[in-house]
Amino acid sequence: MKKLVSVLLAGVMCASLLTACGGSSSTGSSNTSATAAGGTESTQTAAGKTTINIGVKSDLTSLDPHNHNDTISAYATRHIYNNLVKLTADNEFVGNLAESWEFKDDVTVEFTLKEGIKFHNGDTLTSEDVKFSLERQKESPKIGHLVSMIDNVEVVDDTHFIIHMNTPSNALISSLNHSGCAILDKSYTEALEAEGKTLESAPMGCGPYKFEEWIPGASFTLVKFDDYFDPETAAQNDKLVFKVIPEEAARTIALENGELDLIVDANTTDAQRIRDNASLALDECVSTHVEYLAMNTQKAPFDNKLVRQALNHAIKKDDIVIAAIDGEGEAFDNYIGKAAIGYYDTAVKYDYNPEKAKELLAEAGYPNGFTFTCYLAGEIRARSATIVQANLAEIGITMNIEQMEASTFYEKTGKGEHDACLAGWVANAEPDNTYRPLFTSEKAGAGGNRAFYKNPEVDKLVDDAATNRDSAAVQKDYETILHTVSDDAIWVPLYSKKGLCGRNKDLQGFTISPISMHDFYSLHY
Amino acid sequence: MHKYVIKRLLMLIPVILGVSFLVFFIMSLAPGDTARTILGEDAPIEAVEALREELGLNDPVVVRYARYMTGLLHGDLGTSYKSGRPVFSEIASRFPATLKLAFWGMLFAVLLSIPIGIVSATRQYSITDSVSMVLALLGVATPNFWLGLMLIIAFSLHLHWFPSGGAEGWKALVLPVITLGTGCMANITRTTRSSMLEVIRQDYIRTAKAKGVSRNKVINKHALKNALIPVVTVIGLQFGSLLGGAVLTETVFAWPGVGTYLVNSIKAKDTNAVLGCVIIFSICFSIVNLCVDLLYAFIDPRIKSQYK
Repeated sequence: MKKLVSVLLAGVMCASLLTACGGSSSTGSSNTSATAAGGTESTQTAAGKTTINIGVKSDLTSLDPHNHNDTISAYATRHIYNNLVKLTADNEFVGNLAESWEFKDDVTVEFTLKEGIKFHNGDTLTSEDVKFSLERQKESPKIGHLVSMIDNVEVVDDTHFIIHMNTPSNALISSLNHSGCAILDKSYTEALEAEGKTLESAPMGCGPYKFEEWIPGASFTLVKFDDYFDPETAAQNDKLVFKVIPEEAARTIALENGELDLIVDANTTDAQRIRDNASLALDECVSTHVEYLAMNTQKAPFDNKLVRQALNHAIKKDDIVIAAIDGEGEAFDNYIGKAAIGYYDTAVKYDYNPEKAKELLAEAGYPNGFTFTCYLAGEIRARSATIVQANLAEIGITMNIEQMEASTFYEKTGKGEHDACLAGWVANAEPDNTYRPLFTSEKAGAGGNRAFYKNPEVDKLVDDAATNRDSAAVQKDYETILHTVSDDAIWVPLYSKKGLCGRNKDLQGFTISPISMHDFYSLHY
Repeated sequence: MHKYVIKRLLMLIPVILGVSFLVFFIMSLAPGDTARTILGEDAPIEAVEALREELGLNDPVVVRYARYMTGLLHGDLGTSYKSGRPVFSEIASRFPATLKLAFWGMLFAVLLSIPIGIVSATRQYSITDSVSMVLALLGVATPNFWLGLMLIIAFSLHLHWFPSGGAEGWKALVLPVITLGTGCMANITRTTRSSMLEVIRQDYIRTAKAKGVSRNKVINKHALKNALIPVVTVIGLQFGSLLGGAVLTETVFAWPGVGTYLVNSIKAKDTNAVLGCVIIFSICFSIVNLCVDLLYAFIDPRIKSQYK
């Protein structure tokens, strides 16, 4: 027994050791900022507080802007690095590192850099850094496609360079705003890589924040860069601490508790709870999201336009908004989210009319309905599916639901094994990145066009919109596409979810982004 | 004894080979495209194909397995498909947190469950016994994630005693340890009780009592020691599985452990990361079991003679 007691005591000592030195394996240069246990830091010192704690649902995957394509990693890299252009709240692209640019012809764009911009290590930004960064990005399997239109970058002098494109493309400028098109310090990155290190361990750019540390699975921290070049986008707080809290309810509780100052992309279930809390505020916005039922237009019975239109008349979308997203959005008729660049109100609208749906089915040769299988992934879509299933049953259509894991869903629907599937799309700042994958023949299947819609006229319009320099003609192209695909009823658009972020009501300077690309530099108490 | 330990450690080799073989082929049989999962639904086909090529996913599964095993024989657990970082460093950065949570959770469970189990056994069918067993049943039946959320609401949101999540400081450890330890505690309590009940009915206990040995001495010295073998086995098994990461507890409390990493890797079909985790878990589990077996010898010297 004495031996057992000794073993237990030894165990306690080991554990004490673990507590003292364990769990702090991190990437970075300094220790974690101390947060008051019990979560009282924010509430006690909210006024004048200069460290902003932000709750995120998952960890970042990479600190190298050319090695990721996910939103959470972009929260870090968008603030450490910087881009040639930026998107304003009015959906306009303006210069950021670039002072100006000019299209010399359809495939040649000359840029002028702002002078005297410093990297965090004191190096000055030059055209060589831009050339190095864009060429490095082109090699990236994860985001190289964003700059696939660039043939080469010609350096004129330290502040002037020319981008030569291999094909005319309107997507160039919007792509340069993407977090993946961050500009790196050539000499720093080359020296780092020559030592066998990567930007993962020591990211460095010319953004408003310097990297401080990353504790995998727990948090990542950025600190203010004092020599930042642009007063308008300079950090108004000293430190941003992004805390990884995967569980949605726990994230909301941490906000209520004062352990967090802001949670991005709040859960719809918790939205009303945040609204009801006097010390919190809920930021809401119309988003670029659209949720839809895609029908496989290459398979019977959905190869019949009348059947597809019948389904559009049969589904009561308001019920789905309540069941799937707790009313935090709107029933939707369009194919592109309202806040997206490229949204136009030209889509054909189908009212809820089961009788009309039955007539269309009879006209199509299915007076007694039919049976089909709908593929989906995720719990929210399963909730939508049960409503759709009930609505379709009313017009004699039996919908079997097959729920699967996300990667299986992508594979099966990519190969066209489905009759129909439930999917969603969040548009980014470039309309071609939405119209091309969703509606063109070349992207049928895994490319994003899960309706397998093939219409040469639409293909041609998408190509024209991507290359035509006349903005009025581009708008006309997109308006026509929206009208065509909605008249062909390739989907049943279901709803568009709001953007939701919860914050301490005293936290100022937050503007919610419809595409979840929030800026955090202006946050302050 | 030394030979026995070496023999057991050598048995890790077939265990690792078997586990890696099974996991690798099961992962390759599962539907889904790793490159598509990593890049997301809206990534263009060209990007997906480029990534698949870079990760070597177009090679036959046997070639990929051979490549992985070659690396493993050189002590390389490979590179995570998702992050591009070495799997070993990914796991190493998270394992201390898992170890810390598992150890304290287990200690909490052991320190409470063994005394409760003894008291229940020695006062069988008393109110104390009934209450303990009902609580133990509740402990086993209560889902971890629910208990965790209830503790957060009570002690973090309303009382402000502890933080709701994270791993900073000792206060952050309290709620996850209670959450994790409760289920283990319930199991150990029930095992201790039944094992003690079996032992205290044996002849030598009756003899000791007849000879006038005090009740405490009979229980603590003669009965408990002999009742500990199944209890230690349960503790070992539970500790071993906790080292594999307590996914639900880690998720609820935003605890940066290996469990969440493993689940995310499975979702992303990140085969190298999943294999790395499973191999590390297998080693940990085997070592914990070896320690348990060695502990038997200290508890019951008769067993020591079998370790040759």
